[in-house]
Amino acid sequence: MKNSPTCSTRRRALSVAGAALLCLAALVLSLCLGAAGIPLPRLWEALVHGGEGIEARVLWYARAPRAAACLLAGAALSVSGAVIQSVLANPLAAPNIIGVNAGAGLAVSVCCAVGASGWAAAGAAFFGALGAVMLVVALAQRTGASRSTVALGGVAVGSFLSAVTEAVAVLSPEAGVGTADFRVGGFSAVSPARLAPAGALILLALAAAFSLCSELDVLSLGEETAHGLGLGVRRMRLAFLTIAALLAGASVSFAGSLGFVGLVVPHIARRFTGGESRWLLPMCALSGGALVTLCDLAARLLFAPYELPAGVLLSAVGAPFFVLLLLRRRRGRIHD
Amino acid sequence: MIEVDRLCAAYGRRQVLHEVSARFRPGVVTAVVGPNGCGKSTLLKAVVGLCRPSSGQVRLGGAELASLSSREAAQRVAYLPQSRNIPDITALRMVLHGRFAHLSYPRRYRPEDYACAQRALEWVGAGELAPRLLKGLSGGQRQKVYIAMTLAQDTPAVLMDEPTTYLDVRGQLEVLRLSRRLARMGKAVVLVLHDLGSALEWADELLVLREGRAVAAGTPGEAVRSGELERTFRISLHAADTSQGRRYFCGFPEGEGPGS
Repeated sequence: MKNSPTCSTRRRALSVAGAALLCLAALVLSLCLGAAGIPLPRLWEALVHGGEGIEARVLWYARAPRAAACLLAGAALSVSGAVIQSVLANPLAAPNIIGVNAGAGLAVSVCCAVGASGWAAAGAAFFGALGAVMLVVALAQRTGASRSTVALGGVAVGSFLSAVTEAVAVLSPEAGVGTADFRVGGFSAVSPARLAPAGALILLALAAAFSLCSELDVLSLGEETAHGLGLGVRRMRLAFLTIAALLAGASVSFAGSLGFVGLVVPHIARRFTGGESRWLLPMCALSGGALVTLCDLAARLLFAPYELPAGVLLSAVGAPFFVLLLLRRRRGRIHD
Repeated sequence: MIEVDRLCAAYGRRQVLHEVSARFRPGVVTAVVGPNGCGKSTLLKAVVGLCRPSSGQVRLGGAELASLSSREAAQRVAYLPQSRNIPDITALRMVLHGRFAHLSYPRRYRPEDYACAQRALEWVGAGELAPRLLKGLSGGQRQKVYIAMTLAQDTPAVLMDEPTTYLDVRGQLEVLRLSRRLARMGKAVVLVLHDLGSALEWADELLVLREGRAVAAGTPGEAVRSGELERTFRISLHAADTSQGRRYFCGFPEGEGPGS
């Protein structure tokens, strides 16, 4: 994409359709494969007719909520990353890099420590994420920071918030925030009751993001250009950061601190669709959902009967990608 | 018509503009010149509302800037800032964004907007760049695309902050020629220029700023005769009549030449 002189609508439409197919394939694989395999014909039967058989129970009580959680978390974090990168005009920004996940994680851990869950946890995660992103943006504006400094400031804020989360985990071990699933992100503890409120918030925020694609495109041109084109920059920046925080926060409330999805997926998606949000955001949502679902599937199967948290595999993919980004940035391909 | 009346602006405690008054008229190219840090870019930012004035007034087409929404202001004046992001989008899409202020929510670009954007690209001589990605274009090509965007914005006034910076000589000349063509369309064109020679050659009027104050305004000849250009830049100006009209050359004042 980078070296291509043009970016045709056909190519972008095919890319989004391909991502949708990949997402569907990941969903089917995630439902079929596991400790007890469900053949494809019986999967259809269990999905349509339900019933009380072992396969229907495994499907409806374990795999379907987990697959839905993977799709929602992947879509939410990827779209959140794309929005944050556009708003901050910073290719190195992502929910986990600038401390958004850590803010949500701290809020969720405090909720767990006091025994709150469901809507309370999802809401607290949102406010935690929003607080973190506003803190980083305020720091950047106050210091007139460059793009790399915004990322570094986010790392500092994220580290601080993670340290407080660790303290909560030590002081309230029964809250469960010290588990590997929460710390690196995973789906083994997902339940419909935990997923439903966060899922509703994610769908709401995705709809809001998709309905403001033109505004996001104009904002990504830079504050001064966007103002000159007639965009209310402060208002829209706040709206988009709220959407990004809602997406990341809701995801953290049931999947823990999944790393690197919000950084890696927008960059991959941009190579196929270019930077126009009306193509980029759907591409991010679909490919992010597919990536997280496939990583979770691999985490379940690779060392069966043991299960790795999905976040471990995601970080294994994401960390080298981040290094690659830094190296490309050094060569001047991504301009500061 | 843009009217600036006794405008003061500051960044924190640092006063940048001191009671600057100016008029930017339709069909006229005005070059804002002055040494680095004299407030040229701040003046443009204050005119479009990016920098809140501490006192004074800006009127766009008779309406006070403070009473206009961002969208209403963008329908009256187009602004090209000095620094811009280069997104992963095509030239046509970039120009389409010029139509943003003319759309209501959900702001989907209409067929007439696409036609307007394509016409604007062709007007600046960059019609063939429409499907190309912005990142793959040269600096001069990009600048043409940005000027096409201001044309698509369809405003009576266009403000450009250092539009010739980083361009080669040919690119600079093309941008200056496009600015004159915009003025011939009846637009008020305001350029912040670092190259005094270009300003004297291409602008109809000059506004000279020194330490945040407007010290001279008028035609290039009037600005030169006032002596404020030489005082402001601490240079000497020499005129020479050529077949293409009067040209000005800048040099050190006597006693500060290369050999001194």
